Amino acid sequence: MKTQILMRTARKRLAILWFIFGGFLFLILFLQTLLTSYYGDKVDQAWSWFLPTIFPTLSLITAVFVNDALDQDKPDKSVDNFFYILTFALSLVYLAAISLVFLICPLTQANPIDLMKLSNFGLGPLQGIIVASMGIFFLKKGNQ
Amino acid sequence: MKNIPFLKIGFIVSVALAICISSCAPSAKERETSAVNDSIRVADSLAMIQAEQQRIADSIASRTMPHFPWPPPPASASVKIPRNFIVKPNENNTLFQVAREFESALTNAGYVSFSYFYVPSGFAMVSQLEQINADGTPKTDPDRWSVQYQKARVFDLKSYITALFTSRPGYFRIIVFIFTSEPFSESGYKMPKDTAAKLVHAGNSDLPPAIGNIKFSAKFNCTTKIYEFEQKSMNSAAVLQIPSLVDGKQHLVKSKIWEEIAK
Repeated sequence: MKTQILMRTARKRLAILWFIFGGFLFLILFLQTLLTSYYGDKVDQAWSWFLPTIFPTLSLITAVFVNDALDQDKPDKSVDNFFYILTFALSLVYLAAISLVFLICPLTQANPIDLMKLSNFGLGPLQGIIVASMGIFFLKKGNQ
Repeated sequence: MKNIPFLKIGFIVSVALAICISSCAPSAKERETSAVNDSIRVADSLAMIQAEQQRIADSIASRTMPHFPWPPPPASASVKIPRNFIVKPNENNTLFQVAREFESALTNAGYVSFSYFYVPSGFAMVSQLEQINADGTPKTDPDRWSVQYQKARVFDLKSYITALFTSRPGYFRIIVFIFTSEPFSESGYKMPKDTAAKLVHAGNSDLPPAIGNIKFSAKFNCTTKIYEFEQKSMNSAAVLQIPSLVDGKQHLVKSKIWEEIAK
């Protein structure tokens, strides 16, 4: 089993995960807003909850990719495979938890806005851990 | 023989007196007119007494019963209940009996709570807030009596996808039966849903005798006001629908009250 993974490969995989999930969740919220008054008078609250959960990380990933694209000559670095798996798993759990907030709504009589607010108790700390582990790939300088 | 002239004079005077008396007495037509006038006076007196009784009853009721907003707020739909539904031929019902008939009709139609309010020269009977479908039929229990918006039930993938992206509007309704001998119009005050939901708990459980013992005379009418609220989604405010897409009679037909009253 490999103990190291190339930084660019790890970044790409993480980026794919985040963009697919992010795009999927964005599409759900966009359609809910556009098609009907799903959130009634509280559309702003739905978006205010959603945007900070996904977009800071997506912005970071995009910024790093842009930076990489401008600096193609730099040799690739490697990082411990454990960190990659940990970050990928944490990201998957976090994004699945956000998806669950949307997907569980039709199955309950709970108010979607209340569910979003309630989910912050779990998502907040998890987001902190995710940002820290993502930093390994998108901020830290890897081993040569 | 000496008395004969006196006898003649006496006879003539008697005849003259008889003619005079008969001409001074009222004729048959005059007697009839007089009898009619007496009857009118008696009827007027009775009407005045009844009106006074009703005024006193009204005054007592206005102090002992909670007041329904008056004139009534604009309703989503209205319908006047035919008199023959309320009072059968040759019946001389009191407002108590009429109220009992309507209580029975509402109970048979599945309504469990209703309450009474004072309105000028009568009373109003208010049903519990219920959830209905767009066509006016009540929702099935327990959703029917929930004052909170209920999401659509999910039972397969299609209904899940629909519920994920769309919100089904919720409809709420209260029915107010107004029994009064006074004509009325509607006010400009729009009743909010929260007020409508609380009405049934704010009213009296029964009529006070002062109102209940009044006869349901020909002057009385029963007008039904339907207040329907639409809530587009869980996070939208419920808005009074004016007019309702369903007319007043159809609201009562779909709620099965119409057939119960007509029995």
